Amino acid sequence: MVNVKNKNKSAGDRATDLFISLCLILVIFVSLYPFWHVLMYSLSDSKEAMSGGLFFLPRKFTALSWQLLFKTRQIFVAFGNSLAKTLLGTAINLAVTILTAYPLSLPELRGRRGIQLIIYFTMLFSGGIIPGYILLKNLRMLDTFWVYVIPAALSPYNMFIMRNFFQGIPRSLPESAMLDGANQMQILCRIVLPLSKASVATMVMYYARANWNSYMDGVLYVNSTRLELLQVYLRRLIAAAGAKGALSEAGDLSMAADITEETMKMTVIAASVLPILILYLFLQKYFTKGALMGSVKG
Amino acid sequence: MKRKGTKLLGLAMAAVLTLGMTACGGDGGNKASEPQPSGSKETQQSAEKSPSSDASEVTPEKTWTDDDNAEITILMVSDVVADENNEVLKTLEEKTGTKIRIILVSSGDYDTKLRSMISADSCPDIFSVKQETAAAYKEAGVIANAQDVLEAVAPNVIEDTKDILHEPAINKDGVYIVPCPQKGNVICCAIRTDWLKNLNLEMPTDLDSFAKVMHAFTYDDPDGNGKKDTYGYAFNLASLNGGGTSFQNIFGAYGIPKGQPIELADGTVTTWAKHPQFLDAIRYIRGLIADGVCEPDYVTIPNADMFNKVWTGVAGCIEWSAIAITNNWVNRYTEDPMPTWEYAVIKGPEGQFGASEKYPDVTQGWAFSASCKNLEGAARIANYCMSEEGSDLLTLGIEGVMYKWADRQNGKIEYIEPYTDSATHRSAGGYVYATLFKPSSNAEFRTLNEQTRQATMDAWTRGIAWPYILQVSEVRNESGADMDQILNEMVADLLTTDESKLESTYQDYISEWESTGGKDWEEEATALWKEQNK
Repeated sequence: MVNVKNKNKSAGDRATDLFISLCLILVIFVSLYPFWHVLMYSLSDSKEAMSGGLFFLPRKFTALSWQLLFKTRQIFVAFGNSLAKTLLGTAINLAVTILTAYPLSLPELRGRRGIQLIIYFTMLFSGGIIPGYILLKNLRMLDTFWVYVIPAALSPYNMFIMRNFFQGIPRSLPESAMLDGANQMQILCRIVLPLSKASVATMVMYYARANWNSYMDGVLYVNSTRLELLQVYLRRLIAAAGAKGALSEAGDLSMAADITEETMKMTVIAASVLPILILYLFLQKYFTKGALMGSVKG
Repeated sequence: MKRKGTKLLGLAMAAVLTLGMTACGGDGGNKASEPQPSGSKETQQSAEKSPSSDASEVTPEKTWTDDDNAEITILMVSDVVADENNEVLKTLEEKTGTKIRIILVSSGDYDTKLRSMISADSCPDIFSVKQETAAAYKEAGVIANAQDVLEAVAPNVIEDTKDILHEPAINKDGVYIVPCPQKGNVICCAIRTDWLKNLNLEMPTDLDSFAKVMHAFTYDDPDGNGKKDTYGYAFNLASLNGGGTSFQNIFGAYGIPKGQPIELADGTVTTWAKHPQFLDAIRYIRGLIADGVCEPDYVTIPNADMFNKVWTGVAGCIEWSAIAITNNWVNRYTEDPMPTWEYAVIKGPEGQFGASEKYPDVTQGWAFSASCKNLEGAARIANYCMSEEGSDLLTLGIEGVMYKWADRQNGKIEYIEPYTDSATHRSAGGYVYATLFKPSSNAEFRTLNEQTRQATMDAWTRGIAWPYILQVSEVRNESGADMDQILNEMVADLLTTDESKLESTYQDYISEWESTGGKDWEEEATALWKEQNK
């Protein structure tokens, strides 16, 4: 079929297709190459990489910086915390977002506008770091794992996207289910959510990325290294690599003498990006559709 | 049915929120919520601060708290982390008879964390703070006057800081911050001696011989590879700025402490750029640049790339701290055999030499919280850390367990398995807390290689004195950044402008600097300096 179509195409169309394909390949290359370069740099010998000329393949392959990265127990602790935050946090985010967005999408909910206004207000104004800190302290959340997942349980922005999507589902579907005796919870779970796979997948992506990359709550609200997040740990690692290197005069004894700050940075960037990149690959088929949800009405 | 469903949804939402609220079982860092030990002798910092405190709990001599059951929280900057309850921390607790909790924060996040903790009434018992911030904390009663307790239980602190303890303006009526007595490193002019040897040249001793060496490094193939791939002097725009390291020893040869205030013959304190010989130094540097012996891309090259050129054998001279050049960078050099460096003393037309003096930094220090329940214990920690033994523990680890001295006199140590592995060493607490009440004779300095240690000490003798004003300058707080920016632009401009316009360009920038706050600052700084020297 495709061949038949191609045969019917004029030379001009084919040239246009080729041009578009080349452009897209270029875009893909421009998008992916920085990641590839970072990965390659992290797998090159520091001194060789420093001399420049790194293009497609690592120079004098070595995984020394990766070994250093995974050498300490702390990275596994930090990785575990970030993973737990991402999994549990995203689950809570989803639950709260859906359970807030769905009722707000129902026209019959009384006080809907008021509730939305209150939620919208938090998008414009926040309490600030110190009031937030005091609140969490009074709630006895500081230095607990829950400080990672409860305060940010709901993103108003994501909630409004989700509400818009729910509003786009034809009312006749839940009404038919209601006539068959289904309650709102059944309608949500059996009718609405199965129709919202793309938007849910997008929410998973948004929330998981935010949870994985979260940094300030790991710095501000937690003192114990047992609860340290991966991003905080990686930031330290970069700073430590800098401290031992050129910019500081602090003697660093023998730590990773053969690894430069640049290589360590590249390794850390690769390590922090890879997990979320993999998640994106799994969810990308839903992502495009989900990201456009609510943008077209009617 | 519809109502039932709505109720269910409401219940589910409530359940999620309730779960979140009830799940938080931590103490939230709220020490006030902890049950007090039965034998707690919690007293207030002083009778003056808390007139209602029970007099029976305060011994007549002591005016400070000493509850050894109370945990002492320390907030400090560290870019490496250790295991909680690591061996070094346990040893520190044993040595000081205290319970310690150390919170480590990256430097960029330190102020935010400290402010949040203080605002939430969770002030750490020991923390480092800048003088201007400390002044506000002192006024608000956040930090304690630790003079009495330090005099009573911290002789090491009193001894090691005796010349500087009362220098910070905030410490005029007590001890609110304990500054670090360690001197900074005076910038050295490092020159590759292997290249000098290849070219049969001597170490430069004055400005003329320095220019000749730089020329030879650029044009006479010092590495002998037959290519013109080297140059003399490595610098960039960032290091050219007032506070930067470049040309420190060149300005020093004209008697100018680069980047620091100077005192003119009439007693006026002003910027280094108004030194009578400033333009002579600029002309000399212009000569080097015109000869093509300096980093050709100095305007755009970032620090890392500039260093790379030193590490990879492109540049043969750099002004930096000796600790970096002959100690920390040893494993960075890519050539085989490794380059050899020595430090030049470059004399100017009037026989002057050296670089800006580095005074101990008294503009910041360690503060003790006024709410500390065991100020005596906190002072004991300060006392122990500010000793050679304490510094060895915090930097090298536990002697005999983590390391042993191979040659104590010459600062040579050997790590013991498994602590030869730096990650294991740090997990056990080695090096992580090295900055805590760092003494002048600290382990880091004592374990430098001999050349570096000697070079650092030699450089201290060559420091060019300048008016180190300890009071906070209000004019600088207001306009300091703009004033510095004008001078930075001026130096960069003077290196490239036409020779005939040099004088007028200089005057234009100086006028701009003066009108941007420089004139007011001169008056303020002169008055402060006179006041300080009364």
